[in-house]
Amino acid sequence: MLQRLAFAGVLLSLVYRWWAHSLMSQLVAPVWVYPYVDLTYWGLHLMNVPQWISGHYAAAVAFDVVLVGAAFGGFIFTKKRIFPIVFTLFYLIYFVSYNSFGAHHTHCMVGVLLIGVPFWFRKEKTFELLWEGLRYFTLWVYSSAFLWKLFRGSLFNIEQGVAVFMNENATHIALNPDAWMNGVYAFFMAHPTLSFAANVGAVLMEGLFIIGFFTKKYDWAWIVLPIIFHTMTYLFIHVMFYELLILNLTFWRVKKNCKF
Amino acid sequence: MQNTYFHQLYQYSKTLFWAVVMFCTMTLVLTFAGHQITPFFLWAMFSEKEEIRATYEVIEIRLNGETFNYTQALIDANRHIVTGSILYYDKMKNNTDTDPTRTFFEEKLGNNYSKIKPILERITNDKAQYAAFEAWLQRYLERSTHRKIETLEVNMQTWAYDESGLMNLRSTKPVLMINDK
Repeated sequence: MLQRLAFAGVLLSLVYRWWAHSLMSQLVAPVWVYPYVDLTYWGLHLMNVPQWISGHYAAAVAFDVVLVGAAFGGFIFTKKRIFPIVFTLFYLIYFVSYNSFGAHHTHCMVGVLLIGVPFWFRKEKTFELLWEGLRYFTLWVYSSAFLWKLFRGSLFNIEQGVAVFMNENATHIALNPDAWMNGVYAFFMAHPTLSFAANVGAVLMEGLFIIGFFTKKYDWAWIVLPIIFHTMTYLFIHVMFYELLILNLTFWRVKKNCKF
Repeated sequence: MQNTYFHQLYQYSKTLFWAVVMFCTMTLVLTFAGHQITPFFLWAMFSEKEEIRATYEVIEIRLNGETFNYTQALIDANRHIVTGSILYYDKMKNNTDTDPTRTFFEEKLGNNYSKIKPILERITNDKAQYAAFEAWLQRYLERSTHRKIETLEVNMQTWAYDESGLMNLRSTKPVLMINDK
């Protein structure tokens, strides 16, 4: 069933976060908060929610148990609406807390945050319409990323490719001077035209998603392209966005209750 | 027209239709305003024009006297927490121990800053949090690396690329130091 696939992805993401010592109870009571200008962060911080949970070890453990338990419940008990609802609400708190404690509002967790919402509803038609809405949202993620680069002019910036390479790889090259990938980075840095072309290619790949708003004929492509795109960005500029790939499921046109 | 997503939504449920329209409108309005309020996200990463710089800053972490290669020893999700919070600590340190978010709003709002100051003071970092950060970083790195850390040193290094694409260290600025020996 589709819900099982979605929550299998969610559980995979949570296992990754547990492995990375990043679940609430593993953060050992962080002291920083960074709500910046996001009013949702303001609200949760004003209610002292992230600080209180992370600051009390028993509460943080209980929070993680409910979060993982709800994801597990969503995977096993596909008829119970309570699990996707509880999961989404707890994940929202985790999402805000993690980003605030790390002083950077990363977007890689957005897919896991939103994937449970269509499963809140019992009626098949409601689910289908929200699932399709999530499909459009996924198209928006990539196509708006393209539009930002187009309208801000970075798409046409001849230095963009090399500058991104140099900036994003600085830490890795400094800490790993003998890594074999350094030769690849050096090659791109020494060939600005190639770096520019690589950057334009990546941005145009995002732009292709605009087609998805008008036809579902190429939905297979929107499953494959993000995998290529995020693998390239991970290999070449160390940006890890694999958790966002959970949204690829929205291009898989299946019924909620179909059996694989 | 009758096959469009919004038409189907409208036919099926007015409530659902307006909820989705509201979500789309908020996303579009905030995108044009360049402002993010979760769950209305901006997808503007790497969209600003970048220029080749003469130097690049790299965080150096030394644990028990040895350089800690956090690009290999940590995975992305906890490296994000470690480096992000160190960068913010450094920003606060360079901002006379004042949370940069407070300074941002003070500069943005001018005389109106006093209206949100009490709220902002509740949700930003004060001197007590600033002072507690070093001990937390030590705790978190101990947990992440599964070892006892007696000395922790964090430096901000300035590196420059040479013509072959390798990097040369130009300078090192201390950020924090803990010595429990």
